[in-house]
Amino acid sequence: MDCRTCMSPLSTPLYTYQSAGTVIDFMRQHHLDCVPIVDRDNKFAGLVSTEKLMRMLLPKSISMMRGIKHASYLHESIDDLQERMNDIRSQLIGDLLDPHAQTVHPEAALADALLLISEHQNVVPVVLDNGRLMGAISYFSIMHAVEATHGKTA
Amino acid sequence: MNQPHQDQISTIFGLDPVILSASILIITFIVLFSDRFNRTVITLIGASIMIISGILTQDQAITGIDFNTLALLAGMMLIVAVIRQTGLFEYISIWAVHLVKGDPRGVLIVLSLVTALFSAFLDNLTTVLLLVPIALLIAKKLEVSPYPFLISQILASNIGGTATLIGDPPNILIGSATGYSFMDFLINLGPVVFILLVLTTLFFYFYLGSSLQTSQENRERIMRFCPADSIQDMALLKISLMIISAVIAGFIFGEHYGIRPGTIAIFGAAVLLLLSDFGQSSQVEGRRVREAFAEVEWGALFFFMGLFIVVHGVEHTGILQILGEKLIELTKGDPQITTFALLWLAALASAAIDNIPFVTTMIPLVESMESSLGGADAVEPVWWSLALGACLGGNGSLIGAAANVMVAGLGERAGYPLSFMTFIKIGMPFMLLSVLVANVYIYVVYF
Repeated sequence: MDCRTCMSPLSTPLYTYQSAGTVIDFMRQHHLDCVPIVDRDNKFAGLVSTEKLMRMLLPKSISMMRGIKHASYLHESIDDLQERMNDIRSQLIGDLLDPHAQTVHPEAALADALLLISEHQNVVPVVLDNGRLMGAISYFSIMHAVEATHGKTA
Repeated sequence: MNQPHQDQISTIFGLDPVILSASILIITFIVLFSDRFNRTVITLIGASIMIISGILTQDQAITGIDFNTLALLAGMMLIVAVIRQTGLFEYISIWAVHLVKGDPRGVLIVLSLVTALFSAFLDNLTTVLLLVPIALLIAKKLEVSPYPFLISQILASNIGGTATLIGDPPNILIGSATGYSFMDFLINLGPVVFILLVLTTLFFYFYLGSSLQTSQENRERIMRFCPADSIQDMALLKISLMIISAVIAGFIFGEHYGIRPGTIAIFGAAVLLLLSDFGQSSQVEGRRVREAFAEVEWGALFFFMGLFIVVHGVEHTGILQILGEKLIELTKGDPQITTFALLWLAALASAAIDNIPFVTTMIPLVESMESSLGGADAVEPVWWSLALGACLGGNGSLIGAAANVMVAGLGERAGYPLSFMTFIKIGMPFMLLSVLVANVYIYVVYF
C-alpha cells in the first residue's frame, strides 16, 4: 500500500503570506494539531503545529531554549498570555511554520509515513517531486482509507 | 619532557618526521580556525593521520591523552546535568534579582556576579546557557535594552572562569600539566580576578547600565517572580549540594593524598548519580542516568582527545622544544620578559582563535623552557600568565571564547543579534585593560 492511497487531499490550502490568525482559526475550527502550508506556487513550505504555537506562548527567551525543562519562578498574568497571543496572530503564517518538516512521495510505502508519524510528527505531507503538495497522511486519514476499502470489499 | 630521537621515528614514505608532524599540526589548526568544519571531526582526523603516518604508534598516542583533563570535564558535566534538574541555578538568579528589587542597573550587576560565580565552578558554556535566557527574560519584562545584559554576561563569564582550576578549559589543561592544585589557582588567580570583578562592576554600573531605566510597574512584574518556586526537587538539591561541597573539598585536600581532580570529579558524579535515584525502581534510575549521560558533551571530550594526540605528535618529534629554545633566545632567558610576552601573546591569540588548541600547544612549549628559565619556581609566573592571557583574552572578540558565540547565538534567537563590531568596541578595550591589570598584578606579586 502506498501513501497516495491513504492520504487526505487538501481542498483548501493555506498560504505562507496569509496572517497567522487564519491558520489558527482554521486549526481550531477543524480540531487539527498540524497543518501543511504552501507557498504562492502551491509548493509545500512547511508545517504549522499546535506544539509550535504552544511554545510561542512562552516568553521568547525561554522558548528559544530546548533544554529548559521548568520556569516555575515565572508568575505571569492572563494579560501576558493575551499579549503574546495577539503577537502571534499578527505574524504571517510563514513565520510560524517548521520548514524542515519531513515529507513523503505519493508512491512511497505507507510504512515510511507511519515511521515518520510515530517518531517525528503527527501529520506527514505528501509531496510530488516538483514540490507540489498533494495531501497529508494522519492516523485518521489511514483509518478513513481502511474503512473505505472494507466498505468496497463488503 | 621525554625527548625522542627523530631517527627512531619511522614515518610513511620516509618523510622527515619534523616537517610531517608540523604540517599535520598546522593544517589541522588552519582548518580548525577556519570554523568551516566540525572541530571534533577535524582534530580526530589530524590525530589519526599522526598515527597512520608513523609519527606516533597507537600506544604512544594514547599516552598523549590527558586522562585527568577528560575525567574532570566529564565528571563536572555529569554533576551539572543532575544539579540542573533541581532548579538551583534559577533560584540563585531570581533571588539575586530580588535583592536589588528589580532595579535594572542592579539586575545587570547581580546577574553578572552570579555568572562570574557560576563560571568559576562550572564551565562557561553551561553558565551562559543557564543565565542568558533569564537575563533576556528580565530585560524584556523591564522593557530595557537586552544588549548590556548580553555583553555583561560574556565579560563576566570569561573573568569568573579565570579564577579556579575548573573554571575554564585552559586552566584545566594547565592544572593537569603542572599539577597545580585547586587552591594554587584560587590563591594565585583569585586576587586578580577579584580586582577585575570590582572594576567590571564599576564599568557595568557607570557605563553599560547607565541607560537602563524602567517604571515601577515593570519592577513589580519582576518582583512577582518567585525564587522558591524554582526548586523542583528539594531532596535531590540537598544531595547535590552535599556532593558538590565534597567534590570541591576533594579538589582542595585531594592533592595531599595524591588524588587528582579528574578522579574526584568522576567519583563525585558517580556517587551523585547513585544517590539521586536511591531506592527508586531500576527503570527510573536507568532513565535518570541515561538523561545525565545524554547531557555530556561527548563531542568536546573527543575534541580534546584528538587535540592531545596532535600536539603529542609534534612534541614527540621535538619541534616544540626547538620552538621553546627560540623563544628563550628571543626573551634572552629573562623570566620577566618571557612571562609578560606570553601573557600578551596568549591574550591576543585567544581573542582571535580558540584558546584550547593554543594552550594545548603552549603547554609543552613552556615545559621545554623550564630549565632555561631557572626551574619550576621561576616558571610559575609564566604558567599564571598563560592562564590569565588565555582566559581574559576571550573577552577581546565575539569569537574569543565558545561562551561568547553561544551568547550571541542566544541573543539572535531571541531577536537581539549582537554583531561582531558592536561587541569588539566594548570587548577589546575591556580585554586590553584587564590584561594590563593582570600584567601589573603579576609584576607586583612575582617580580
